[in-house]
Amino acid sequence: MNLQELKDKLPAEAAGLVDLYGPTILLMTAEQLREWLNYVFVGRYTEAYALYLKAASADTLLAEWDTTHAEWKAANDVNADKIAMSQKIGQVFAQVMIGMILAVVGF
Amino acid sequence: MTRRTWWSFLLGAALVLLLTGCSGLTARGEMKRLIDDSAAVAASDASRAVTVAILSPEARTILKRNAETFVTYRDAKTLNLFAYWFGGKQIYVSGKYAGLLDRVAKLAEVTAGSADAQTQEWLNAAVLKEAKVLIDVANARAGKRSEP
Repeated sequence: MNLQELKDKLPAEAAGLVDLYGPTILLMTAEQLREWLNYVFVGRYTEAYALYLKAASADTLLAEWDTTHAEWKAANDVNADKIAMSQKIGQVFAQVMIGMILAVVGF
Repeated sequence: MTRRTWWSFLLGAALVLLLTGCSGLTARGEMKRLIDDSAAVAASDASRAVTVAILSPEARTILKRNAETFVTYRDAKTLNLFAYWFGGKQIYVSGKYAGLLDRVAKLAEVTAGSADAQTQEWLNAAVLKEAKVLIDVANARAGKRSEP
């Protein structure tokens, strides 16, 4: 089976992963591949990732930085939205509390 | 005001502090300075790398320094708020950012380790791409969006 045949058998979202990681996985030796699969199946993803990087070509390493930057960007967007929402909640809460305090002291 | 009202007020204030303080990546002390200073240096490196103006020996030194910085971030991070405030860890992160810091430290180590065999063009491209991620880390700390 080649990568295209593998992609054809997978759902569309998983096919993207084959494009991203497939070429490097094909470069692994049988021993590396066995070790990599063992790490994946027991959930030791950091070790699996290290092994993947060891097998990666120079161009794949650069592409991996682009992927990493995209992930950081997505995480930062979510983080910024969450902080903006928290600040809005904080402002509303402060307004309510000030109103309550003013009401209690008789203004 | 009754005692119950005051307790409600204090509880609400604590809730607000908790909500507003909930950035996914928070740093204090030395790590806060390192994150911001590294982003500033990275911006300067990026402006030279974009024109492939960094000579190979200097680019390798930059990649090595970046790798050390990312490893420092990884080792200083914690998901435990008590370890952050009382245990000497200076970067408090969500699970998402913890995974990203682990991955980027490993990627930077491998990149620096492979730098000896690379051309000046490749090295400058690597410096540029690493600079973007160092700036991403500073943006995460500041609660800002990242540049594309």
